[in-house]
Amino acid sequence: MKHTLSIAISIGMALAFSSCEKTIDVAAPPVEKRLALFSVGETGVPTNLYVKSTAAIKDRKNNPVLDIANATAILYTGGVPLDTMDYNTMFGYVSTVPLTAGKNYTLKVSAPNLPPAEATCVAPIPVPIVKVTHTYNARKNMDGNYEDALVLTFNDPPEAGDCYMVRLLPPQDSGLFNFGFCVYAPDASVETPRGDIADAETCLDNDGIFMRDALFNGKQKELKLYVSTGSIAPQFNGTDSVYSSIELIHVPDAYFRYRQSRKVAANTEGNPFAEPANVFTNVTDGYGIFSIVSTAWQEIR
Amino acid sequence: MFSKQRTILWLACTAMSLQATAQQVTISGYITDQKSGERLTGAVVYIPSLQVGTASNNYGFWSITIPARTDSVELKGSYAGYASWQRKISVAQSAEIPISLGEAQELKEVVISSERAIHQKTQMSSIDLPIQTVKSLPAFFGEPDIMKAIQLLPGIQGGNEGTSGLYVRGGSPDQNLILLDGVPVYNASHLFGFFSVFNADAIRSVEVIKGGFPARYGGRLSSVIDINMKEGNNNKIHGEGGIGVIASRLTLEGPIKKEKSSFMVSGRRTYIDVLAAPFMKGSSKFGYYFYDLNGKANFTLGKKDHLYVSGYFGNDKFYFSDKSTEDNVTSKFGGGIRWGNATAVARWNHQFSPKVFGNLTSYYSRYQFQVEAESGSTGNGTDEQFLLRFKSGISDIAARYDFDIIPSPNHYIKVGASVINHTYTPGAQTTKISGTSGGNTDTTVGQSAIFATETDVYAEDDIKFSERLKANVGLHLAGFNVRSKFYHSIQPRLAARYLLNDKLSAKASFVQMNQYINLLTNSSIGLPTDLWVPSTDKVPPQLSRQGAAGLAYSHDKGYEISVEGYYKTMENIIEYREGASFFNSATGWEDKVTSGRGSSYGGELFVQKKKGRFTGMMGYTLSWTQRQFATLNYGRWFPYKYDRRHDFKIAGVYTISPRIEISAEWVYGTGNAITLPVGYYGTPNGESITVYGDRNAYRLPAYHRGDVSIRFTKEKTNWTRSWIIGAYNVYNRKNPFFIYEDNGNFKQVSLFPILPSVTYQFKF
Repeated sequence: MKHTLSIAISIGMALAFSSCEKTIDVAAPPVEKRLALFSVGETGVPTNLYVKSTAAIKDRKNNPVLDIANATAILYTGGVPLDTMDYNTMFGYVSTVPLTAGKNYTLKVSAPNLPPAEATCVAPIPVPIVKVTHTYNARKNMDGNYEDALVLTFNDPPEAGDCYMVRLLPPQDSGLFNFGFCVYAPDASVETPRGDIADAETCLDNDGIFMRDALFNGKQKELKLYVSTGSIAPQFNGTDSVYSSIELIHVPDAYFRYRQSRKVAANTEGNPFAEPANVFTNVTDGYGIFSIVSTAWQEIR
Repeated sequence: MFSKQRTILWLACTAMSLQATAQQVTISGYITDQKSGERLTGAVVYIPSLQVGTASNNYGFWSITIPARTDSVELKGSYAGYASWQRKISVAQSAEIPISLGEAQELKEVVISSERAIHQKTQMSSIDLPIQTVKSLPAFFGEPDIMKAIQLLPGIQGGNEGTSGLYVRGGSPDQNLILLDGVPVYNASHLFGFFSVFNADAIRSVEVIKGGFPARYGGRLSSVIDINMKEGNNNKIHGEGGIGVIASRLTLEGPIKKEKSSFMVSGRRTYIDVLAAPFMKGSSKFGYYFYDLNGKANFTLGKKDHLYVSGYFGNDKFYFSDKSTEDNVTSKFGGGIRWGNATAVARWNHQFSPKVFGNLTSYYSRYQFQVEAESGSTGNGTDEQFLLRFKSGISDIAARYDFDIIPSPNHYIKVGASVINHTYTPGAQTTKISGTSGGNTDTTVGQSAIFATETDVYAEDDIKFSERLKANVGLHLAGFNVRSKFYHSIQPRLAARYLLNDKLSAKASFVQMNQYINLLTNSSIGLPTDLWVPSTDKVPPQLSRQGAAGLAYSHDKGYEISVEGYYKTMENIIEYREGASFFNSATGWEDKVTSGRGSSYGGELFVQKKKGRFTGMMGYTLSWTQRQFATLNYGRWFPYKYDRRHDFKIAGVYTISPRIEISAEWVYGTGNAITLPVGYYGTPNGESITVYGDRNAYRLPAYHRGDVSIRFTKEKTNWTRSWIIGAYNVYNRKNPFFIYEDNGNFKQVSLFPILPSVTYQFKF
């Protein structure tokens, strides 16, 4: 009797707590199709551009083709047309003119049946790396494991408002595109993708450590990073040792915000209780990102 | 010559003033329940022939000052649910007169005296919720819930389906001052908000104030929910309890020393974990439970002194564990979430004179939340253990002194002061590692505690200018000191009532409120992980201003009707920035929030019937609530998530016979405002990025639900038993809990279907 009652009550509770799901018609507001532009160029080399269009959310189930192959993409500098970019199935729309640091560039794109879009970016000046030092077993983490310290030194330009991304890259012949481990950066200048300050135990992705120059504008900066010992050790490719490297990427504020907002949006996607976040764009009347960066890198020995 | 005239004039004035003083007498005393000895709050004491009266304070004390007379007058006392009391008394000199009220024999004996009727009261935007009404209404899983009953009042909305959060006139849950015997309770929710922490069997009275706050209240912008525990029966041992589908409760009360001191103890516990235990396979265990424990004792120390001590302890715990053995190595892992409140308060009443009553309160209140995970392995010469623990919380130690000064029938003055020491612990993370492999660790990182001191001083006077015009005028001064930053505020409070006739009055009020505490919540379902944080040098205090006006009407047949309009502005309200999370304990929360402002306006209609075989209430609210943050929604105003344009609730209890009672309620509300994905685009590396529309621009489908219950009562020789059968969401409405997009289709998730319940209750 007791067992039967227990089962009956438990079934009742399961029924009570079971949620119910159904598909509903949502009168979502109509959305005008727009262009989405993706161009991240580097100073000293020509840039390329991918052009896509947006689609209404209800069209997702039909998997429409969003690539635009018949757009007109023109690169301007100082208000003067510099280059009409030709379409290429592999690289999108390709320019032939190298980008020059310090110049102001505007990208204007138009496509049939879509409103035109444009974006503007100033190519940042290169910021060379002064030095990189690597100290083995520099500290122990909370789990009691050793970590190496990397100190990246560079000189910040005198103008305020510089933004940087720092990346750790695996050796070129390692077959890896990026590392999967945490990087720790106990530095008041380093921001997490959410925009708050990282502390000594915040795990940062190694492909995007973000910094603004608010605290070191115009000065020499030493950025200290910690990674688990052995994760960036030299590898042997059969004939030589090959080394990991560190990149210092001087980026515009727009790219900085775009990368941060991509991570934030990814974190909240699919969580019905979190407030959704739109990805930042610097494209007028469109979406995506147009940016130019300057990269310096050095091997970690 | 001149000097002689001056002397005569002075003597004449002195004689006249002495004459005036000599002619005043004060009659005072305490008004109590005849059966239990409990003191009654808000009971009316009235002298009809002189057209003067007053209401008892929170401790049952009343005082009336009148001109001395040689003839006797009739003194009357009344309180809802009790038979009226009257006696002829002499008023030739001051006297103390205890009044003891017996229970009304029939429901129609309930009298709403003229001084306590809604149209007579100066206070507007407030509702006294009878505890018996709370217990009679249909209950979620058969558990009577005070916060769910409060959600039935106009201007007050619950959050998501089933949760206990309160959104009062467009405010957020942290803007409600929830007091239990005068002590703030920081998290009034069990089971993620499905139940509140208040056991209805332990509660004596509930008052809800949504606007026109008297000066004695401060610290929150949107509401005061003043809940008082029972004191305990002074004369005889009594008890009541209930056994329900998921929880049981028991309350005992009685005298410690008859008519001198009494106690009340009440406990409640769920047994979801016990019921689920038979279905756990192997060594895996998981479960959930919550418990509440309320206790109170009161002592009459003399004719003028009374001491109360009370406390509340409650906890929720969700736990899981597993254990396995392989190759002589035993591995285990487990963990859980635990959260809960604890309060302790001592109050000393002292009657300084027939016109002056004082109450000294000191209290402690604590809310704490903890997440824990541990693992370990032993065997084959190894022993490795790992523990990770995250804790956050808030605690207060405070003292306050309040005085009631009643110099004449035309003035009721309250003054007081308080000091509160707050300790905030936004988050601390402990890691412990030990083992035979070395690398032992025991570290704690996290934001260190923040200490703050809040001081308040207030004065208010309920002034009777004429038979028609009364006003409550007050000032609340507050200071908040944190990290060498000092905030102060001057908060005017004004409320007025003008009698249009003997049944109808017009009322108006204006208040300014300041709040030095914030609740950070990055989800919409009020998780225990929500953090209480103070105003700091980077995060200024919240501020609101609210004006309201309305009409109040009382009918002889027990109907009370009020119509009110209000307009409220809020500044320095905060929200997490997009994507921020609670679980990064060491970094400054101040850098994760953004501050903005809000506004709310609307109208409310409330009808309540308090006597007769049918009692009930109906409320309708039409309102608009918006928010604006510089860093959200491109700085544009957007609807608040709980901006509910239309909100309608009706609830009723009908007594068919002394043995059978039925009750029902129906609620309707415009759907919550949410942000909807409206489009998407692809990236060069094949990812998809969603485009969201304007913040909160879309409305979920409307929410509506009906609940019913029927109670069968049988009187036994020395006790009474009742069976209560009920159903929550009786017509199985699939109300939206949330919606999500799945490959271009929108899907709605509902939480609760029809939920039947059976509860057995007893009383002795």
